Amino acid sequence: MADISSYKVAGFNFTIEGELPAMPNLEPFRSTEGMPIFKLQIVSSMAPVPSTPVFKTDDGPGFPEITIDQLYSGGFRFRMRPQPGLPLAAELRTSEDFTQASLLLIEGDKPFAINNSLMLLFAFSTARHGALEMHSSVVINDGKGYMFLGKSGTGKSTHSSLWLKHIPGTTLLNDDNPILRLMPDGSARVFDSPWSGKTPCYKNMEVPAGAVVRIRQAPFNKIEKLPAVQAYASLMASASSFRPFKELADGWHQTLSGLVAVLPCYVLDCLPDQAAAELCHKTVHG
Amino acid sequence: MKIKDGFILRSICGEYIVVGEGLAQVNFNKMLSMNESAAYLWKEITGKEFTREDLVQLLLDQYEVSKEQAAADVDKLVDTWLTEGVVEQ
Repeated sequence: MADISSYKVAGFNFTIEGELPAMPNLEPFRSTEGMPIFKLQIVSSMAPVPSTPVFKTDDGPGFPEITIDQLYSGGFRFRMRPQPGLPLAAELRTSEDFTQASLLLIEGDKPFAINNSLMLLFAFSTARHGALEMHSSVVINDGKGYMFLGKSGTGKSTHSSLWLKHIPGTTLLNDDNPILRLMPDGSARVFDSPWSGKTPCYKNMEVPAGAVVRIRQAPFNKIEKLPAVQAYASLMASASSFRPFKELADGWHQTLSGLVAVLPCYVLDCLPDQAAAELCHKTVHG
Repeated sequence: MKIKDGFILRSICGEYIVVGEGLAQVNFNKMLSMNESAAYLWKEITGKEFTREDLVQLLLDQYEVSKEQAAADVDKLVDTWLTEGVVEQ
């Protein structure tokens, strides 16, 4: 009997079958209640399969590179490298609906490959269920989650740390990859995930989403509320959606358009200073 | 002319945009805003071959507008669509 570990993230269960390395980030999310939305099996070998190339991610040096192929038998495979030019770390094969997957760990950092596989499977299998994996740093203040978006290096985490320092009662929910959900009742809610980048917190908490703020560097501080279409574009740019998957686009669109109807979205041009955090807090807190 | 593969009309809070979806448009990182009449035309021509004259007729069927005005609007719209690369000859 193989080891099966069960987890729940943002209200969705999944299981991993097979021997896992130590993964402290997953521990707070262990849960056995509920039906899994996907099952990942860690395997020790894979037979070659015919496939046709679909897409290769191109996020540049320093970022993982993922090559995606469609299998003739249906389903997909994802071959992952920690960076372009490095040897393959792992191969993930999924069913067409992303509910079943197997993972072969080839070389190097096992938690890297397992976490990346889980993030892919989570994003795809929840696409039709109102969930988005966001690239965002999120703080909690007064019981609500405030999500900061922005390209890598624009200062999302810095802005979070300014809130933590200068806005009383602020805590960090997740610094890198929270889950934003459009709930069945139409409200927006943000959840911690096991994926939090360089600042692990792993609280396994959830709060109503208060606002989303796109951060841009500027020589001044100014905040503006975005109209619906720009809000949609802002959320979409920071959601981990894989655009080649047409089948999933409808689900993501439903989620994004539902979210912009209920969730205020802003753009903050700012300096990395206390005044920026105070302006932002005063505006989004209402 | 026809709409290129992968361009989809989406509605957001009562407004319309065209986005590129799927492998065919994976490098199209823009959204094209559509007013109500442009969205109406887009829906009518989705999946079909069309000419500028077809679009003028569609406008005349739906709106109280002169033929000259409709033709001018269609020219402007189709030029934008061609420039942005969402339709092809």
